[in-house]
Amino acid sequence: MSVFPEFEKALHEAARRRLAAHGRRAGRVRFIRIRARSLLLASIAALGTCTVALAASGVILTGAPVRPEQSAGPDAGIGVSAPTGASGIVATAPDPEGGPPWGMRIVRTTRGETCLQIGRLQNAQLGVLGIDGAFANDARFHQIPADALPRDVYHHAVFDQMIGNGTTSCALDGSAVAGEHIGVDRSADPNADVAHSPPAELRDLAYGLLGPHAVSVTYRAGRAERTVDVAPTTGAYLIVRRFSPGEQAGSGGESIGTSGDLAPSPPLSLITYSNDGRLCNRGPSLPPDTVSHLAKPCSFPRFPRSAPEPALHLPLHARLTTHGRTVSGLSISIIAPYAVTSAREHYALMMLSHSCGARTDGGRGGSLQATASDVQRGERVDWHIATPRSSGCDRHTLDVEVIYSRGEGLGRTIATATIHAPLGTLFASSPTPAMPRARRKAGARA
Amino acid sequence: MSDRDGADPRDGFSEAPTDADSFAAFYRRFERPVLGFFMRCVGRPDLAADLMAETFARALESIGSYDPARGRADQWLFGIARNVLAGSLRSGRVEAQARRRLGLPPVVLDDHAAEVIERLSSSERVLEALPDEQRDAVRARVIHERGYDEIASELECSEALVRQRVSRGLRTLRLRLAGEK
Repeated sequence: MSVFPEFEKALHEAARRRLAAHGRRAGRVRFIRIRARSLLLASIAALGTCTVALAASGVILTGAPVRPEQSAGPDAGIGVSAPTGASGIVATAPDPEGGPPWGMRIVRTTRGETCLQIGRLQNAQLGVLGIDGAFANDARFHQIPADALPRDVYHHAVFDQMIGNGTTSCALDGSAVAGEHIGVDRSADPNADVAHSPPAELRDLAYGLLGPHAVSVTYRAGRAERTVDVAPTTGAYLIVRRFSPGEQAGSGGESIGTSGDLAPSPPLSLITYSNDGRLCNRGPSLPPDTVSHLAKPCSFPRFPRSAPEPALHLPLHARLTTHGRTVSGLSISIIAPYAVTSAREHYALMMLSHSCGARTDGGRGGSLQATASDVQRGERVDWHIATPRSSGCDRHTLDVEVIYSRGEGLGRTIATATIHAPLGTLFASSPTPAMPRARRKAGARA
Repeated sequence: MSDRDGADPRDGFSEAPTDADSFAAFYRRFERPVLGFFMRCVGRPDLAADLMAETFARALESIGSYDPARGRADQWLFGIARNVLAGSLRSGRVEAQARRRLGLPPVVLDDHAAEVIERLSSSERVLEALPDEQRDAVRARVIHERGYDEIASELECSEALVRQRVSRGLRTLRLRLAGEK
């Protein structure tokens, strides 16, 4: 029996709604939407229509390229576009209204990310059209450079989120991906104010990179089902449809898995793979004991378990600075036992907090700081904390852990220490947190 | 996964739950370990309960991101737990966005729940005296009441070895407690 049976019941019901076999975008990763600039858009529909018509005739003029956002650099965050990291156009799709088709390319970054960039296509180049408020409605084609990538304002390996904007998404190298950008402006401007756009100006982009085993994808178009071949080798596909009423413009999601195994998620209903030279079909994930009615269903591969890694108890160096009777700064360092060469790995410093004894006094505190850039093996990794707070109420000690994480797993504690305030000084006290308490039943013990 | 949860005791949740029933079993299986983790970090049952609830809501929302090739489901879940903790510490309040999106109610902490969570915490403090291997085995068997076969599968060793580690761990604890008296 669980500790919180009522919560378990509510969670069960939420899971029933969310994991239903035909649920819309069940179990998909939400994007962190990053809007670097807020455009003040004037709706000049006439000019937009004119531009699309010009584009259809192939005489659209070229304007200044899209300016990339400021990145964290080649060794931090998702990195920057690697030299020769940008592919040619790997998938194309017509626009429902005509005009320049849509295209997609792959951009590999210096930190092991694979990004999929989508835009309008002219002369084998991706770009944004100067319509619907983009580029002041200049009716020109603005090329998207390969380094116009979403800014990694979060460390997404730590925060378990995908990085993406309206037209680009990034995932760790080697992942099979099937995603959807909902309600993208037809200009392909990722920063368009789509929440206030007329639905007719919006598109739904289904895209993916399914890997070398994928052969085709099937999706529902009205009452019919359509099947399109994916690109050989990469398994890339791109489907552009009119915006679906009732959806949230500017939203999106992605399913991530392994080539040859990733299940389809809406709008896809089927993925055909060639596994071991035999064609097979993968439908949406079904509940256990549910019989699949697919012809030639793919078998489920077994993944080998990784061997447990040896425990580490590394030395940790701490240096305190004081101001009067208070510890005013703390520097922690370790010598990195492993290199960090991609966004897949990081080190994190956890400052632990303990109960003050009686459950009602509430004194505690703590924080976690993770590295977000490359580290050489044997290099010193430093954390600097201003005004470190005591782990307990006595203000004499602070317990810290250093954690190493590779991929999305738990991570391993590789060093621990209890740091004592120098004689005559104290750590800052842990403030009573602003965290709301869980609701207590009436009459429960105070 | 233990027999009482009605799931395959051999799978150790190497695959993500794919339907509501298996997600509920996943919750029952990892509720106490996650509560214990948060108690160790924040030291308060009410906060641990709130953080645990948000962790499972986040897990339900992002279940599509789980890739068995990158680790077991429990490792993935504890990765989310760390992220929830980090985000909550940074913002100064327990995050609740995932629960709001899913329409989940707040957890209700009654006396029984508070005592269970505090026991988890005190048990963890006692276990800290043990070597890693014995601690893992005792925690899995005694605190989380899991079967020897399941623990052996997860730790990738024989049942006999798990029994030996549990036995030695408990003996060490008995001797230590006797010495303290």
